[in-house]
Amino acid sequence: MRIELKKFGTVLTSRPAGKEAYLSARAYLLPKDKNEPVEIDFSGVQVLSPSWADEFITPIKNEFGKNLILLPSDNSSVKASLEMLEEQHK
Amino acid sequence: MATPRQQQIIAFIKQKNQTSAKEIIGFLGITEPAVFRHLKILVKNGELFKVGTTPKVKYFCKLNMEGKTKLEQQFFSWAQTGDQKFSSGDYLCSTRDVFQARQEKLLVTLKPLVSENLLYLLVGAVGEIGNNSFDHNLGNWRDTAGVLFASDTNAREIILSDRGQGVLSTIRRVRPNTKDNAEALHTAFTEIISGRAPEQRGNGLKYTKKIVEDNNLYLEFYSGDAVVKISGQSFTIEKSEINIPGTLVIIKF
Repeated sequence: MRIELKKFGTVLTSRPAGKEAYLSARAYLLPKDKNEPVEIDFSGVQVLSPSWADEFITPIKNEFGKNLILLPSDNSSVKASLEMLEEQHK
Repeated sequence: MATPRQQQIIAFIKQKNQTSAKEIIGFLGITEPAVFRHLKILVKNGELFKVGTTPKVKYFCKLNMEGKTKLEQQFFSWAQTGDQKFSSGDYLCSTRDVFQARQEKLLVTLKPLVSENLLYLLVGAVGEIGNNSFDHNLGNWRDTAGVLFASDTNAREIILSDRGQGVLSTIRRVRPNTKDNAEALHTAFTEIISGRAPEQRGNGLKYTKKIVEDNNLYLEFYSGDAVVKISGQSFTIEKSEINIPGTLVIIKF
C-alpha cells in the first residue's frame, strides 16, 4: 500500500503532528499484515523536518522493517531529514 | 555620568541579570529612599529600565544594541525581560498552531528571495527551532508562553526567541554534570541527545547546524551567557555579553 504524505499537510515539522499522523495512519491506513509492503510517497510535501519524520517513519520502520519503502524525492528538506534520520539510527 | 554608587548598582544588576530594589538595598546597605533616588536617575538616563508593577518591579541593564537592527533590538529586549511591550501581537506565537501557520506564511514571504531548495531547508530549520521551544518548555515558561518569531526581508534574517528555561536546564536533565551554558550548547548542537529522555529525540539542532553549514548561512543561538555562532563551516561557542534566560536565534540568509 502507498501512503501519500501530502494528505497530512505540506509543511510537516512538529513532533506532536508527526506522532498524531502516525497514530492516524496506524488506525486507518497501515496494513494489519506486517509482511505487506508499505510505500511512503513524499510528492507534494514542501517541508519535512527530521522531528516529524522521526515520529512518523521510525515506528513504521520498526514494524515493517524491510517492507517499508521510501519513494525517491527531489525535495531538499525531505532528503536532508531522511539523511539525518538514517544517521540517528546508525 | 553615573556616580560611583550608581556604577556599583549597574555592576550588581549586570552580575544578577535582573534584580529588585530590595536586593539592591540589601547589597548596598544604604537607605531605601537613597536607592530609589539612584534607580530613578539611572532609569531616566537610559542606563537601566524597569519592568513590572509594584511589588514585582525588576530592574535590568540597558543592552548594548550597537549594530543591531530594530527587529533584533526588540527581540533581545523581550528575551531579556519578558516585557509585553516588546512582544508585538504580530510576532508572538502563543501556541504551536499559530507557529505552524506562520511557518507556512514564511514560505510565501521568502519565496522571491531564495532558491526553492534553500527555502524548504530554511523553513524546516525554523520549524525545528520553534518547535523545540514548545517541546521543552510547555507548562514551564518563565512568563509568556510561546515563541516570538519574525523575518526581516531587507536584513535577510529570521529571528526566534522564547522565555523558556534555556538549553542548560534542558540538557542537565539528562547530563546533570553539564557545567555551564557553553557546554550545554555544545552538546545540543553536536550530539544526538534529548532533554526528554527516555524519548528518542534530539536531532533538531544538528539538522539546523548542517543546513547552515551546507548552505553558507549565518546563525547565532543565544542561551544563558553563551552564544553559538555558525558562519559557513565555522562553528564557535563564545561567552555572550547579553544574558538570555530562554533562547534567542538569528538566522541570516
